[in-house]
Amino acid sequence: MTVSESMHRSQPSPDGPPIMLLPTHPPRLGPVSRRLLLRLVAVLCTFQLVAAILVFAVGGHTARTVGLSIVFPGGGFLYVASPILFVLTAVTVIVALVLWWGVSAHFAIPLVWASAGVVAVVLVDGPRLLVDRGTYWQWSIPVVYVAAAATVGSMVWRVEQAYRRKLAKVPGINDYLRTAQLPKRLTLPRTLDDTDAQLLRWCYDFAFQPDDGLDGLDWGEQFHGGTQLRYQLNSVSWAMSLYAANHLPNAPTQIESALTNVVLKHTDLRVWRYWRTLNILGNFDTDPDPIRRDNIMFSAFLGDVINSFEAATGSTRFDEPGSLTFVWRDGRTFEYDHHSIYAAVKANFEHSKLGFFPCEPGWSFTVCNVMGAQALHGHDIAHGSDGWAQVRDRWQHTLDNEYSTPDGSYAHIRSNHVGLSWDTGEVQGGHYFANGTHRFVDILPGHARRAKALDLRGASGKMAALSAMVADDRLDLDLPAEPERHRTRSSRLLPWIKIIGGARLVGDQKLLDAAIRSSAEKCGTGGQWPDRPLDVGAAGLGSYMLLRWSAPLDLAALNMRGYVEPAGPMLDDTSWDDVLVTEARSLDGASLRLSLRPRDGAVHGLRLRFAAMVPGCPYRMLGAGSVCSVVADERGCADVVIPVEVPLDLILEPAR
Amino acid sequence: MFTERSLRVRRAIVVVGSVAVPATLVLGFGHRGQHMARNLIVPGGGLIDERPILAVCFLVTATVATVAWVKWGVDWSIVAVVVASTVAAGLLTSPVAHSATPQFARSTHEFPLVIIVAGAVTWTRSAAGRLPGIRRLGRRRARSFHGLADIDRLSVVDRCRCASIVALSAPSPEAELDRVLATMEDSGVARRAARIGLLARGRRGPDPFSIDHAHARAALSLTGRLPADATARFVDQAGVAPGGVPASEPSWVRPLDGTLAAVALERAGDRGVAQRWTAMLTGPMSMRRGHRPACWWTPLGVSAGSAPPWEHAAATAIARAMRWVTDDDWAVLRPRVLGAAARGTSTCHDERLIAAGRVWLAFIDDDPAAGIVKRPSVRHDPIAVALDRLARRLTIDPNALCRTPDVSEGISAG
Repeated sequence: MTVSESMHRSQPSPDGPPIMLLPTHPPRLGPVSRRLLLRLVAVLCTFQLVAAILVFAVGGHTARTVGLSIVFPGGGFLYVASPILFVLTAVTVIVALVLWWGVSAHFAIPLVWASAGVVAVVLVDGPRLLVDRGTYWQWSIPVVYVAAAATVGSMVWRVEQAYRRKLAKVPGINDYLRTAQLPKRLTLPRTLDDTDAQLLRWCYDFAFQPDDGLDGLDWGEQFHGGTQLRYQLNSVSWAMSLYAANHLPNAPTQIESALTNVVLKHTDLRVWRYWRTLNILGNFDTDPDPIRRDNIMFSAFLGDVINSFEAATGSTRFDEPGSLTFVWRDGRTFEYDHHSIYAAVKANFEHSKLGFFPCEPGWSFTVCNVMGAQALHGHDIAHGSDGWAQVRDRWQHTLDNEYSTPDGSYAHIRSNHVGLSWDTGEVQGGHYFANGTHRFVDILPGHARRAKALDLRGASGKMAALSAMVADDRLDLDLPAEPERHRTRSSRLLPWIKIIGGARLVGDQKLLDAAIRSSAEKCGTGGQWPDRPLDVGAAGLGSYMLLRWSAPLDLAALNMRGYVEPAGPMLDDTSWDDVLVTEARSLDGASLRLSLRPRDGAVHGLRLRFAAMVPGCPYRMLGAGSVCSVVADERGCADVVIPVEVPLDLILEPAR
Repeated sequence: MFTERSLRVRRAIVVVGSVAVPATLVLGFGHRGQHMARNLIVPGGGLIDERPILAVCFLVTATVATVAWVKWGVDWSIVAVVVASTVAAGLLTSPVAHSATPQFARSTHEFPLVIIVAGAVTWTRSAAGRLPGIRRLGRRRARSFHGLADIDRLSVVDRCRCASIVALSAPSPEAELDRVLATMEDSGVARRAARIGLLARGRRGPDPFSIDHAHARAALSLTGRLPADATARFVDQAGVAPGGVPASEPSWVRPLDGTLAAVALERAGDRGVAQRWTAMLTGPMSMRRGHRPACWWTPLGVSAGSAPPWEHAAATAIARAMRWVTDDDWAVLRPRVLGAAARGTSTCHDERLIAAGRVWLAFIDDDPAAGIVKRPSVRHDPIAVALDRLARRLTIDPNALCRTPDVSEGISAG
């Protein structure tokens, strides 16, 4: 029986369906992982058998050196009295381990292991350092076997200990889940302030820089270090999509154009050329195409970005064939669009034996595969396809059986080749209850509720304590700067992002508003493009904007809703370069709330062209202590010219 | 312009001479002749056994002479080195054949080694330029250019090319125009022409541009700085020049310089230049295996090397604007231009190729390529910026270069 089949359900909670309970007897490994691991064990055992024959049956210095080199990396060096080389081999194995994970160099450890054996054999009759030629350390035979056994034993013990520790928590967790109450998502729209305007302006400046410009992002290596341009672009795209949907549905012109530019920046070679290196090292494949094979960390994220873009703006620009063309440095082109990216993600899911497909070759991350599922689901919502339905069962089976651990958390990473997982240091403990920008809400709502409940166990108390500190709508904390993920700088905003995220999780509106306000006050830099208005790196800034602008819709809600044509009057055109339109939305479908700010100085005669009004209907515009009236023409359009010298909040409403 | 027949006769004479002279030396002068003949293949090669230091000196001199020949048209220098090394071998070599001693064998193996090492050094230099640190330095230098404002930082040849293209992309802003004109009036342009004239052909005289120097004369003509009598001479010489246009440096016709010179000549009233240059572009300088030659050597009418992609693209794009070539080049240039657009504008060659691609796209209906090529910002290299301007002009008016320019139009009004 699989974990999926054995899941229990608690009693319905008062405000929603019941929360799934954790299985009480989960297996240590899923079927695919177990098979992969057994294959690895079989290979290792075969080698150990050969090694034992060489060491104990064949005998002789050369055979023993070879045998001990097989038993443990560098083991032969100890036998030929070269301890320095033995230590060097151990260090090299660690480097190879990092390369295995970091750049998918699957051959690194076997290469080091084999190379150490070859060198050791060469040294059998060679000179020695500090000891006489012809010296052999017979005592190394038991030592090498002990080292090998200790290494394997410690690995197994650590895994088993973690499994048992988590298993012991299951009854308590299930008791908690039976009674857990989930707070409702905070959907109250915020009143936008100066910081929102600064952030929006930064987004526009970022988007409207020259097409090949990536100013404003953090630069560094593109594999794992936290300076990946792709994720920085993703987060800015998502944040702008939320702003477009939540605050500018009735004035989409400028933000849609800006979002288009940001999405197109994903095709910049600097953003995706890392893939060629990974594909060569990990797949021995020279194809630089960033979408076709693996690389879910790019394809799925980009698919989800386009989902959000389409859900926010209704634009079908990226549905056009070839609308996202990736050009390799030799001029080869890889033409994609929303549909073909979706198809590539789906095909990769279908071809993966594990069920999840890799980011870096051979390594499948849960978070990236959640994004892959989101990419399919969002496309289905937007275009009526059924890709997610086709892969969902297998995907969920993989999640629940291959990646889950007894306490409801999921392993961050798993090898598609050997079925191993470990803590890469990227996320705390190497596990999480939910991840991805939607945290399972759209793809597996039941899992989302359980994950939220489990996250709340750790967060509720801390958030309650913080909430108690709110005074005068502020949270007067001086939080220390924390290092960014790329470790090249620290940022004062990062702890605030955690608090804002926590406040959203626990549904504490008071704490949320106070944290948003205080974070801007304490971390504002006053900087303008290309400087950032807040003390944080580009990735952090994207996360912060996401959290600020996640009401009434957050990313999951936006993608589950899809595009909805806005009701009420639309701001069709204005002098976008002179004025910053920070809000344009209709609450009742008849009027329009409009917030304007001069960009670089007072605008004395700003023309506002409205559309989608009731033809022939008189309207009035209220705000800044004055009223002006217009009548919509037969096409439902009207022009208004007003001075914008200070920030203005206006309402355009029918006069009768 | 020389006929193909006359060039064929010349080539035949050279081939026969190349066989006959060594054969004569070997057969007529015995062992000494063999050594002399070796110098015809590699200058200094015949002295390596007996005068190795002198052999190396000749080899180095030959290398320098080759550079001088290719770069400045100093063709007599290579002949002089070959003749000198051959004569030296004849005078200094023993008339008696060497015995097959181990020493002899070692020396003969060392000489090819020198060639290999020289090749390796060249390769290493090229590879070193691609190393991250060095490449970064090169890119930093490329980024330090600020468009046409830095035209005076270009080499004289590139400066002239840039001025010509700016002239074709007119009208230009006044300040920029002044800078371009100033760079043409700079003494460096004339000084280079005078030095090359003296070094390559022993020319002295008040007008360094009296013959050859297509790039400089084209630029002066297109910017309205070439006096009437010099313009007339420019046209007259072109009519009888082997390549249909004056050479860049003595005996070398290069595709971009030739194209710019042809445009200048047509504007100067040369009615036949279009036909002559079209014949060159479809004949000796036509595409072979996706490349146009880097140059054409007039004495024998042979093409050499492959033009850098940007030069190929720029020359043919301007020729396309003049309707001297068809769209065939675009098929091979397209992936190179797209590749450059993907790599970005961090090197001047890529930036120029992108800009030249934009010129091409003024005539080609290729929306996918246009969408890619428009993305990079061309703003550093002056030639690239000039080509970009030209592209914009031709996008608005694809026939802009085909018409006789209006006297009120930009730079040519001077």
